Amino acid sequence: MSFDDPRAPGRSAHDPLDDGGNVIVSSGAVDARDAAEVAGERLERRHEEQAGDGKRPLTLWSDTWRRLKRNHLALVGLGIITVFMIVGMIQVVAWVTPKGYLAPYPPNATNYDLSPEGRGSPPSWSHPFGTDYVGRDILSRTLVATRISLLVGVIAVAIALIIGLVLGPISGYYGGWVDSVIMRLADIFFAFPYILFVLLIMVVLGPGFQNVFIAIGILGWATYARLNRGSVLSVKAMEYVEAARAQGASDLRVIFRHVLPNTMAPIYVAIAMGIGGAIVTEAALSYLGIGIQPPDASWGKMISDYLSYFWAGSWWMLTFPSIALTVTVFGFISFGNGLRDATDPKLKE
Amino acid sequence: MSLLEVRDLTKHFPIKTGILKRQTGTVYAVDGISFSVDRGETLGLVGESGCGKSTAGRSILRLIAATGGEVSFDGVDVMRASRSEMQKLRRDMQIIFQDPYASLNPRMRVRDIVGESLKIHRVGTPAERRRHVFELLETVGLNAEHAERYPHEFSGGQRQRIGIARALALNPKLIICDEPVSALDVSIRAQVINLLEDLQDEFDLTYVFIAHDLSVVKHISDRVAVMYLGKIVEISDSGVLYDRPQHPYTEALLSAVPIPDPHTERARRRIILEGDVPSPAAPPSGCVFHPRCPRARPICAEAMPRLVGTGGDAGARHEVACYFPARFADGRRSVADEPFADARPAPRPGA
Repeated sequence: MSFDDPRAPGRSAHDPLDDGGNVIVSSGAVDARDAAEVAGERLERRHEEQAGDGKRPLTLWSDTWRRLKRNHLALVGLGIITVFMIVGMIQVVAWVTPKGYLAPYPPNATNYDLSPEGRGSPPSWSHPFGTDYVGRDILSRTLVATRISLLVGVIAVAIALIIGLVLGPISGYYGGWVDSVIMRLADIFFAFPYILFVLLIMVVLGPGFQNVFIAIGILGWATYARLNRGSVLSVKAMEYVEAARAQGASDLRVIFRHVLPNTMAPIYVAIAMGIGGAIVTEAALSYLGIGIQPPDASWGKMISDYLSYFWAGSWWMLTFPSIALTVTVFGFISFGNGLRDATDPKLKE
Repeated sequence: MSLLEVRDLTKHFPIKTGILKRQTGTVYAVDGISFSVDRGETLGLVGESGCGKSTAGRSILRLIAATGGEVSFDGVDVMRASRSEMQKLRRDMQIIFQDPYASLNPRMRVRDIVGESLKIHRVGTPAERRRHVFELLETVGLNAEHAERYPHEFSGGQRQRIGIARALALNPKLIICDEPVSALDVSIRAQVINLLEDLQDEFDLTYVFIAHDLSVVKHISDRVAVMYLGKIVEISDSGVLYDRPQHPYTEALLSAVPIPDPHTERARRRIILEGDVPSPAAPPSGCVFHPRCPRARPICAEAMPRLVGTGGDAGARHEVACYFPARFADGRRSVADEPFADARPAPRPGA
């Protein structure tokens, strides 16, 4: 393979454009072009070796993990999330077993150590978190309630994600009136008072914990849609998107195969935050009496039920589910914060 | 018959301002260019950044919708092709991009990037497609093991080879090379250019080769078109254009190419253009080059000269858009000593 121009043989060396190769390295005696080519190949081979032997360039995930590791608060959050997930999964699995729970006592069974005044009994060896006003074991109720929180977090965020990650990319990719309609709709969802809107949907759907998931999910889409739309706007201008269109890829293929996968980093952060938010919203709804119905337990429902006993001196009923809720939400938010910092290119050192 | 025929291709971008999105101006990115490319030929499209050469390339492929003009590819009207016709055309017209870091999807493996068009156009079984991807990688100087890797594991030159393999996958007739070596290390450029030339011979490809580097274009092109501010100012067979440039802009560009000989370099006359390229949103009146042209006269500010044959180089298909094209080396003007009569715009009907 030679760089000599067969169309212009024997052109003088004074020609301003002797040939393309000579602009790279000019020389009369030595075939400098071949030298350049060899050097180039050597360079490429070195790159190749680098790519081959373990010292691979950092991918998005390994790079993110490297920086997340140094953020202790985020690691604590990750630990909390892991424990919460394990406990929650155990409760979800136990739900479908004949027993229906995995806890020291049946969560809704009454009269364990009911004190004569009807104020429950304080923490003891047989009931480490104490019992409530009808003698139900607080530890068992707190544990079993984990499954509601886990399910509401996962299902509500999944619903919000599905809607948001369909409408967001479509809005950003097509622009124009499609974009305006979807984004004004998102504005409407943002403008309404959140709890009021959930209440409204709950009234339409009727009570029941499945409907809590749906209501929170339907309300959450706007966050993901708007967040994603911004990233789509920048990614759709990339050359690989144009390349895909030049190949004849359909709009759907371009959006969901080329654009969306490259806009996910901020979404992962939003998911972590969103799960925490959904858990809080469920607690708020249960506190207000819509959502989980008695005698079933959820952290919010327990906080609501036991608040008056707290003021009367039975501190243990309220304290333990409150701690569980606070710690879990703290875990998601601190992990989400850490993840955001770790993926933010502006904070890269 | 030419494989690609472009006639009066125009792409204007509206400038919209304010909340009402009223159009307050127009960017004349490509303003009526015409050329044709024969089968197996390479047309170089040269010009400064912002002169509209990339926009022209994308308009030809209908990656962006042209404002006006006609593009005919292999007898098919590209501008008016239906969705299914367009899908067929996509198999025959491909593009190689400038930036090998932006043109490969970072989330896809090389085999998916190269094989995507095969999948889109439902060519072969998965096993056949796989084999074809391996072959393509070897054709461009990579090997089959590279198929499982992600783009970030490659160097710039290797990435550009992946981009070339992707363009080749469906065995196209035409490839638009949009500055394919501008972003590469100088040491890698020669390899990629040679690869493109080898592929042209092997697969009987036709190239439209967009670049701002005259030396690269000269090496690879059969014909060269020089663009300035959205218009073609000169077009000719490569050798003729470089030996006897007619348009003052072409002359200036050529005089800026360094000569690898210090004596000649010091002795020669350099044409240094004054001022900057005007904004394509407010192109000058008349000939777009006249504010910077050393030979400009009053007529140049009045109307844009048309591209007409110089008549000086028989068979070279040499056309220039200038009222006062350069003298030939022997002192003879291309047509006459008079202003280039043919270049005058046709009188507007009714004017």
